[in-house]
Amino acid sequence: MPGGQFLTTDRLALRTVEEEDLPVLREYANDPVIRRRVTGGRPRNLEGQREQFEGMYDDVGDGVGLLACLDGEAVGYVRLFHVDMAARHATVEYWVRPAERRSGYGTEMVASVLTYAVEELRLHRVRARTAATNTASRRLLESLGFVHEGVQRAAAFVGGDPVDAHRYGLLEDEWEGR
Amino acid sequence: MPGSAFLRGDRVVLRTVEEEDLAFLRDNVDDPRVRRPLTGTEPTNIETTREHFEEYISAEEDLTLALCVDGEIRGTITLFGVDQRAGTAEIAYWLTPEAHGRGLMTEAARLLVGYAFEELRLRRVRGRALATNEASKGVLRNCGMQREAVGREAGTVDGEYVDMIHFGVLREEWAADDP
Repeated sequence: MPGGQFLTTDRLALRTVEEEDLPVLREYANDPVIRRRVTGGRPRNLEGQREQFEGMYDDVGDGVGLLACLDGEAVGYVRLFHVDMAARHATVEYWVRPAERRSGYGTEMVASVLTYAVEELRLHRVRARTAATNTASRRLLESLGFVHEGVQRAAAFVGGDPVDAHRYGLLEDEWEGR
Repeated sequence: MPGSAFLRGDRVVLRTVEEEDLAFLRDNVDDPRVRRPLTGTEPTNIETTREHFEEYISAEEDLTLALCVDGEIRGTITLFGVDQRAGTAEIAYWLTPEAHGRGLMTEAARLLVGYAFEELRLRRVRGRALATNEASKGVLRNCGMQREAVGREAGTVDGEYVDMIHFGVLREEWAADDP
């Protein structure tokens, strides 16, 4: 039985993660194409994936992760984390299944979570960080109106080389004004 | 003086933090003059300070040291988020208000950044400060850091949103700058 449908876009259902989703999440946590982009460097087994899952929705401050599903199949994952309800900001991260690149699903699911962040959690600001080499992610953020806020030089490591990390931020009035 | 000296400068000694320091840590981290620039909004008592001491200050990966002048603790400085694989980490610090304005934290921060590059062999050290916190931005610049990014309206001062400024220094810049 799939997780609860928490957010909906034109094409996707954003569902809560359930125990039976752990193998899928593990698959993408280990996938070289995805993990190199999110700069994860270690293998993760089902045990490690379960640890991440335990208590996942206990406290909004620990993050809100949702699986983006098309006809019941996960095409991506989007998560708000470092949610600080006092400072009213959070960070967003996401991945899209490699076979579904250029489908626009990424933009769609992230947009949905931004609306949730601003309208339901009443956050003032959402930020994101991406390696300079990840042009797809940068394009996604820019298309949603994120403002490029600077470059942390040589802050990431991709393909054996130090690469710059680009920082982006979006304020609530910028999102609502769209 | 409790604790052992770990890094020594002209005026400051950075030593290990010990149980005897907990009351001093609590008193300062609760003080609005200290916690607001650190963006702390929650009270801490001796119990939560002890938890922080056990979980973070005594952790393997991160490193927090007591900044001491003439044998007396005046603040702390931390190297955290140490990522040995990427070769990066961040520094953060606070001084008890009476010790401000004397360049003590610049001396301490340079000791710790030097340690990060020379002993931990990191490639990059970063730091951040609220746009309104001139003293803290000065400390980061005095470590050779450049302003790299701004988190617009990411912090709060007196009920108003203010920007968070991100700084960073690379190993080669530090090596060229270090006398």
